Amino acid sequence: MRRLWANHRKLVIAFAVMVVLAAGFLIRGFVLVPPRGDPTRPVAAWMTPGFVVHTYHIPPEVVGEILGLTPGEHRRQTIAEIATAQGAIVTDLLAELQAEVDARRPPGLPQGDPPPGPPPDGGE
Amino acid sequence: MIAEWSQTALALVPEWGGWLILSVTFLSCLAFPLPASLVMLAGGAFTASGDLSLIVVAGAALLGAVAGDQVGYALSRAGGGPLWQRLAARPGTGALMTRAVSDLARRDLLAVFLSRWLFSALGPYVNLAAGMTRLDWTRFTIAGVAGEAVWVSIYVGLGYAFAAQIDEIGAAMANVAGGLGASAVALVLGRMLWRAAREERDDSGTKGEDGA
Repeated sequence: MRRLWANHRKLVIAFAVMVVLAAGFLIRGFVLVPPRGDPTRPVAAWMTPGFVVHTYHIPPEVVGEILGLTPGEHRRQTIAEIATAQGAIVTDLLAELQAEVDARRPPGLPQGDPPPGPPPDGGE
Repeated sequence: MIAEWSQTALALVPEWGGWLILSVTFLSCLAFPLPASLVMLAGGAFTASGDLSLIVVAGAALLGAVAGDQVGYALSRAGGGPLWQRLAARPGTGALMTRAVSDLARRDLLAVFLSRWLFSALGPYVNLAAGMTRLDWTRFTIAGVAGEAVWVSIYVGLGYAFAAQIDEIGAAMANVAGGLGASAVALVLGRMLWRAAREERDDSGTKGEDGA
């Protein structure tokens, strides 16, 4: 063993470093940052209208109205781009969308579940 | 919470679509430190939201990855020979590396296949080693395409199924991928050390009575 250290010191160090790295990464991956499916995740500027509809279960008409899209229009742009194109402030649009999300998904709802039944405001 | 740089990456996915996904997987297979897994997860998620087409996302990711592997292999095959000669001629580690590479050659299909997805952190380096040591191109390509198809399916599929959690899944998967990559390197190094230790024991054994 001592000879191994004398003859292949770099290899022994590299092996030890890799074992420590492997353990560290795997513990982080499986224990510290596993997906929790946080239902309170805020609406973000990188999301598209379609993404908001899909993720937060909000009718496309409601999202389209807040973002000022014409009915039936499906934009592949992000909320940030839409705000820029319309001269709107992105944080205002996000706040409006977030208010809609919060209204439809009240706190205390089991994690990840969509809101039950039709929306309370009858957002047609 | 999503880091600033990942938000930027995520915002580019719907805008540039397949071209971005193709470029990122291509460069990441050449060892450029780009968030290929997050971009593929986002591609899957924007497929689920109806912004991108699944065929475009999966096709671009696969095409980029396979092209990146091929370029890495070809460059290393064309120019890596002398470097390999020098590495293999080094006293001590040279012999150990030669044996590690002959192990790789013996299990070439499995090594190339698994280093595309399970040990994806090692993919670019396996490409270099494969080209440098002139691993058979057809076998490299078959195993490479199959492995990349698995890699793309996992990430695009997870993004599609769990669109709301792509950042969390991305963070967890990046750590798991790093851990698996480090484990694979540790296994290879451990095997090299084990052999070296056994040889040294045999050497000293011949002086005593344990001459096996």
